[in-house]
Amino acid sequence: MRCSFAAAGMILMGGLMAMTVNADSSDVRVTRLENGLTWIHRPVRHNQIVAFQLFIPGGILQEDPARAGLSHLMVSVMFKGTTSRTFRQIAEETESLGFMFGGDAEEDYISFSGQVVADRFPRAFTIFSDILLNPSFPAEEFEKEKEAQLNDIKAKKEHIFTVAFERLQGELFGSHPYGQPAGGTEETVGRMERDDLSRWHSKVIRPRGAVLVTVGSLPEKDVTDLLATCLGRWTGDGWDPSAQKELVPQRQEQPVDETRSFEQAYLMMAYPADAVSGRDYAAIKTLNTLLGGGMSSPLFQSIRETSGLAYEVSSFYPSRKYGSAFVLYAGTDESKMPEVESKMRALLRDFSQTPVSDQKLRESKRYVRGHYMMDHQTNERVGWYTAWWETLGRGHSYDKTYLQDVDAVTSEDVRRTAQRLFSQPPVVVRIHPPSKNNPRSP
Amino acid sequence: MTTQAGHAKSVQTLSNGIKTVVIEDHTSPIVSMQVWIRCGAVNENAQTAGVSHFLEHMLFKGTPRLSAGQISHAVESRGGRINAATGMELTHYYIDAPSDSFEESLAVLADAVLYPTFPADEFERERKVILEEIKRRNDDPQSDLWDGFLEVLYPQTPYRQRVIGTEATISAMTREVLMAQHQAFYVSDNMVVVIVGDVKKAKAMKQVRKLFGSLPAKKRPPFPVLFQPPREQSELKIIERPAQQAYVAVGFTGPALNDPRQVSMDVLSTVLGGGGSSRLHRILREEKRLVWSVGSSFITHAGTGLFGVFAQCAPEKARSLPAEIYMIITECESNGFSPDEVARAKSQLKSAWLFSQETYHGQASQWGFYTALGCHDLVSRYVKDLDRVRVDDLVSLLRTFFQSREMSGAVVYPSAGKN
Repeated sequence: MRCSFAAAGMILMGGLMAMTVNADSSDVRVTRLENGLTWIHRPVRHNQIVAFQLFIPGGILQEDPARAGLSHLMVSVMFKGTTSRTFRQIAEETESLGFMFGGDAEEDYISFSGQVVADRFPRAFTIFSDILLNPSFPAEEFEKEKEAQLNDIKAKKEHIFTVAFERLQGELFGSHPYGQPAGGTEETVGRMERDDLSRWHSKVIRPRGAVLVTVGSLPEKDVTDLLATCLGRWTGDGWDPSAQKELVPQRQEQPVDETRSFEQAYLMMAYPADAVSGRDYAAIKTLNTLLGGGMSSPLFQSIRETSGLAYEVSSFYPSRKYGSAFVLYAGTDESKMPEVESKMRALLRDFSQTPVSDQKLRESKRYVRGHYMMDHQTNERVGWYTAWWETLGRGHSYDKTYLQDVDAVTSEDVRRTAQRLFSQPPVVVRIHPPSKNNPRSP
Repeated sequence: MTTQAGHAKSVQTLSNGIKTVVIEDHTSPIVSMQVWIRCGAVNENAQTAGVSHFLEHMLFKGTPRLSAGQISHAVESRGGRINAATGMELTHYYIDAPSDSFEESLAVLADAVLYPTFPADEFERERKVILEEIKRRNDDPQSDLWDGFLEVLYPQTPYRQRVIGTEATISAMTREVLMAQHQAFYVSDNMVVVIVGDVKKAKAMKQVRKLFGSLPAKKRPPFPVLFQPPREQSELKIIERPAQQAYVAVGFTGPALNDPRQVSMDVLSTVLGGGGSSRLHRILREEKRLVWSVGSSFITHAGTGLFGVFAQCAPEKARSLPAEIYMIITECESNGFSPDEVARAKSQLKSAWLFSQETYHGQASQWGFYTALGCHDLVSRYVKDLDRVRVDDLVSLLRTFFQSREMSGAVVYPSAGKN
């Protein structure tokens, strides 16, 4: 462990000027670069792997609903060729290094990640930076990826959870980008042209506001030099969050009831909930654990263990920058759907009215802590959490202090939060299997 | 590259025959505890199909010491997670937990696995849960593809069985059948206990002896015949069902786990379908644009293994796909592979192996799987064996297993009433 220190100054990194550098007691070193990129290095010495994460804010949030799926398609085609490498060259070079990498477009950011054996990191990152900055969007590759994405959109209809969840998001968030499917629709993707991708790349793949995290055993100086070489000429202002359309949770007139060709029936129920920056964020995370965390949770026990009503039943509360939802779901038999829904609502009433015991609260905090630790075993996951907290606005150090916030949650916080959330009218989506009266999907 | 070479002597056998692997590592304050039983779908018949999986569910339903809810609560309230999985020839149970709860967690795991009480009311409730699980599985077109593929590739061995069973067998299952399966297979000679993580080796062994050492020594039942004679004719099973695209699985049977060519089969499957530069991806997706995705893998069994190519494509392209795949593999068999493409495959496999070692759970799973199947030394020598694989070995594999056996498989087509 290195002594705590903080330094500020200007360090020349090739073409990149490091404006400020600081490190904390856990050896995390943060460098704010002149081009607006934040580089966070977390040294790890117990293995020979280097992992990186690059999160660029915006992405889907910037998409017009009429162009939903554009970020997703752009990321796919970025990997298919650069101004100096064909897709085949990229594949051969990266596979010869054993370099595993990828990218995706999420609600709040576009992300890229990779991991490789430490001594191969410089070569791997050089190829990655070429993909990031110099994609050529070859016409033929564009057509292939567009066709594949259109097929993915169709194939999602085979998965009952996805069918229910995409419908739920639409009901919850309306025309806000959070309400659109990340991969777009057959209509929006079908209209896309190759030039849309290069224009979108110029607009959204910008360093200002972006976060690069490296985790591994590389000497920091080596990474510094590498970044200067690879990203030295990356410039451009990033996304302006103030231009973001306001998120107004929608009020559902009546529950959605859809018939689809599945054997199972599916119930999904959601309540609008706080953004990641919300005062009650840690309380809602704790509430989610108390209600649906694991096999001993009341939700699992009530619906599955003591009633045998479902195989799949759980709850979740996704962390989003501008607003979220508390979601419960279960796959069940059509005839049991009312009973499942009734049991879920009874549980929510209990949490709203009766404070949880101190022992239950202590146990749920241990559950959160244990699972958080277990999810920090790989360099890749450590990098992901670091970039994620930073991008969502809580700061990279929240990876350390999140658990303190959870520890500070009281049973009254949980009850108050449950009452606030669950007194709202829920958004309900029910997927029904075909029946004699209604044999086919609409 | 790190390897598990240093752990080669980690397998110890208790006096009752239970094999134990303990790997001490204090990087994270966590420990993974796993129990592996050599019991799965191959140990069932047409009437008892699904019993091993049902049994796995019932082991969390009560012991003389703990009720159903208390088992999961004892683990989760200390910050851990508990779960289990059943496969063709293995069932395993695990608890991953903060290391300060090691003793209590291992006691829960031992209690659940060794002393289940199978409460009658819990048995009936769990039957309903599994029937729901079957419906959920039926909603996935790839489940039908997998079932069809195994039926065609393994006409004479129990590898064709469905792990989850069928609606009919689960509806007719009795508590007595479950208990008989437990009595026969959850015995000392058929069990592996693995501990990886932040616990002193001596302390871990002491706990394992205390909790598992009192199980009477008992031999496992004889294994069923797990060797599939080569097919004499090619067969392609056509399945029509609600789906949005076509799914294709074709392949041929391969070497058993104790065959030294096992690792070469991993290299072969990676060269053929393991990444963007692989033969199948390059030709079928990039050049001919016949598929949206394609990959291949070698599935390890104690008996006859399985090489499979799996693809997703437009229904109108599915009919010609098996022949295209056949031609690509034939061309490889005739003209071989370049040293570069073999080196790339080995590099990918080494990285994947290294990354899989980052978690204690990942390490414990590898040790449990291979030790339970009687081949624990493969964990220690996997990377070295990879280094020894040559281009000629892959061609030789194709001549032995591809040329002499008829490639067969299954195709799922969307029916008229798709989702």
